[in-house]
Amino acid sequence: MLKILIKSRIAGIVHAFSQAASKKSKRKVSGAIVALVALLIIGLALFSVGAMFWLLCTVAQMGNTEWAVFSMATVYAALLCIIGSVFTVKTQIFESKDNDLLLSMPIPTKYIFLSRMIVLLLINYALETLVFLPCTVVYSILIGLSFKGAASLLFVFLLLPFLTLALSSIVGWIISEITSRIRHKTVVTVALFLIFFVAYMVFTMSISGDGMLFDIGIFQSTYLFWWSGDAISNGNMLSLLWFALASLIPAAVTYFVLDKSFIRIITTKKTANKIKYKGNRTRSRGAYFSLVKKELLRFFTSATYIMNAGLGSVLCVVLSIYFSTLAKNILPIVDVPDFEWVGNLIGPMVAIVCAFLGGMNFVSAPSISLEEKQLWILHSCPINPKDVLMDKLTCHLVVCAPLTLVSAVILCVAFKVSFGMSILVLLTVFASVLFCDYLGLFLGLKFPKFGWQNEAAVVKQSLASMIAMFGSMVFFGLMGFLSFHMSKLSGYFAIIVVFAICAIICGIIHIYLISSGAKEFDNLKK
Amino acid sequence: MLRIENLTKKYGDKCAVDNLSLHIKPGEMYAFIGHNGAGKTTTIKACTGLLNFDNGEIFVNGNSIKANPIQCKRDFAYIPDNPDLYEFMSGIKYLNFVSDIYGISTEERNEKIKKYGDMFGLTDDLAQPVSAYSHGMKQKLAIISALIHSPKLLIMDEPFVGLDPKAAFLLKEEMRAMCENGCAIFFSTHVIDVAEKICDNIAIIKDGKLVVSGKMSDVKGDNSLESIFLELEDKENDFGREWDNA
Repeated sequence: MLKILIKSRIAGIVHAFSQAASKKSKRKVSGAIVALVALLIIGLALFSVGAMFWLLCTVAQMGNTEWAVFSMATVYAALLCIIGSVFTVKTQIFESKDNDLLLSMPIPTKYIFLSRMIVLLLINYALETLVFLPCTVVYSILIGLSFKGAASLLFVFLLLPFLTLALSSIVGWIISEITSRIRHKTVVTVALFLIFFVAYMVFTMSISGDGMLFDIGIFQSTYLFWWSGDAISNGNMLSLLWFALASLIPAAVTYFVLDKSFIRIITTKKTANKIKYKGNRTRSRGAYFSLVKKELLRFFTSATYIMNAGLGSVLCVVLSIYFSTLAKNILPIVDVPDFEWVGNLIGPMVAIVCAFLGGMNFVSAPSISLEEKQLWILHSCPINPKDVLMDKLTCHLVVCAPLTLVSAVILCVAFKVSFGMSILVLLTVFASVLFCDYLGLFLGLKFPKFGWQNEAAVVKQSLASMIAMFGSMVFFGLMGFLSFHMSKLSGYFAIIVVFAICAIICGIIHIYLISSGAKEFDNLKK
Repeated sequence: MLRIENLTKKYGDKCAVDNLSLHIKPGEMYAFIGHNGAGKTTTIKACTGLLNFDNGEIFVNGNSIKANPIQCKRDFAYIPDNPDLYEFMSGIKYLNFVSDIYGISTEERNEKIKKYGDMFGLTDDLAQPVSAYSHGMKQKLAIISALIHSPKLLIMDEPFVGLDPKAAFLLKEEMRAMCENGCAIFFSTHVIDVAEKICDNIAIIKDGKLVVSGKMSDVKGDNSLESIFLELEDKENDFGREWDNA
């Protein structure tokens, strides 16, 4: 029975990844592209983590602190597992849609809970591998592992997810308890996500010493990380024992407590206070305004949508503030003889940086697939399909343009960009937001993902979202390369070329959308 | 008000609707009955522009649904069998959204929301998100959103499913009142008693083909509609078996 439950949960996760389009032939093609993009992302992640550990191993070898490499790997893997699975715990255990169905069947509750924990454990192992695999390869090449070290590594690898799952289960349960009792679930979930994100950033920055890659003292004083590093690098079995106890005891306690209270947690109905309609007067608006409002409501009431497709703007502002602190180091270079051309670069690069970071937003890409179950409303109402597409574009613009433009202003001021160039930078950044907007909607229309059960499958795992995000980044990377070389001639020329390319592409997609695109939208699911 | 001419819709090799023709005049209430998979929903979806069809033509108030869909959609309202509404909206926001789409004035919408909200006992819940609604409440909200713009033609797919007895009674009353005011109503149902009691006209569909249609009194004569329906089903089955044997 347990095996069947585990298989069904894994099948559900695989199904969410594999379904990609409405037509079978399209599904095969887009499924292959999704797999290719996913492989590319995993490959890039493994490569970049490997590169980071290459540097760490080199530094550790010089300071005879090889143990710190696996301590660092443990930290990163733990953080990745906790952040990566905390919201999955919430949806897979406490708010799973099949809880009622399974509870109505003759299945022992402990099996339901155990099957979910096992699947989450497997997810944790997958996330942990992203850190431990490149770290082990690099460490083996540069430093070398003893037999005892290799055995310890295997145990640390197997034990760590028990601890991270225990922590993410507790946090997931707390989040679930909070969000089930309040009306503004989205605000709280996004706020909690931001808190986690900031905590992660602060933590990773705090373990970096002044000018050093990592601060040894922090690891030595944090026993858990010290034990894992010591067990693997020095083959210290006592450290391994302590690490095992530190991982398994919290896991066992958490499992025991949650298992005992699982049925109570999922069967206790928690509702926010009901609001009574008091006959508030309403106001009539135009159809277009109402469509845009509907689209914005969909975005701002979905934590999944905000966190995955729209937080790039917030990140853009945060990073632009960080980059602006670097201005004092970069600006003096302009005055150095033979480096005057760097001055030409600043304007175009400010625009490219903002465009690149803004490329992380892909609000328009999943917007068509998200309509799926309610397409009948738009199709049976007297609405021009063109207006529906334009309202989706407007929503992306309203969500993403303001903060991306604010980032551009911050960088222009910090890097003392001239007034004329600043205007061009703002225009180019606006064009870049439009580019992401149009590209996302075009891809969403070409590769709609229907038949989804959870909107995360559309927002995070659809082909349109993936290509929109990575395609935009690659495009702006290329624009950066192009403008870098053109800036040597003239900064104005470079930025005007980037602006023109974005504007032309937007224009082409716009013409497509209002003609064939509108017809395609009208024929969706018919 | 609704004219279906030789409608044919195929799904691959399967003919879901085969050369179906119907004419519903203003003020008429037409029930559309048939077994599961007979082609009722396909016909209804084709009439509302939710489904493309292979052959034939559909006119709403004289406008072709293919050539002039927007004008057609202004004239009718549609209620699906299982209304998936915008769950991220509250009931009142959804009604305002629909009102904005149909260009209903502030006064008119407030009056209609009050009238139908009170009638179906949904007023108190209009501030709640649709995601918190039960199936019946969603059905009521879909009905209110259909009635809010005073359509000339009301097309409904199993409108009584999920409604409590009082709401079902009120909907039937409202349907009668709308017909008296010249609105045409075309709806599918499995509840033969309802069709018999409130409709002037009936169409029975089987395996995509229209078996019989016309005035209720002409179709059923002195028999009950249920016995006529079952008789037609059996006749068709016998004919099918004979045809297969031949």
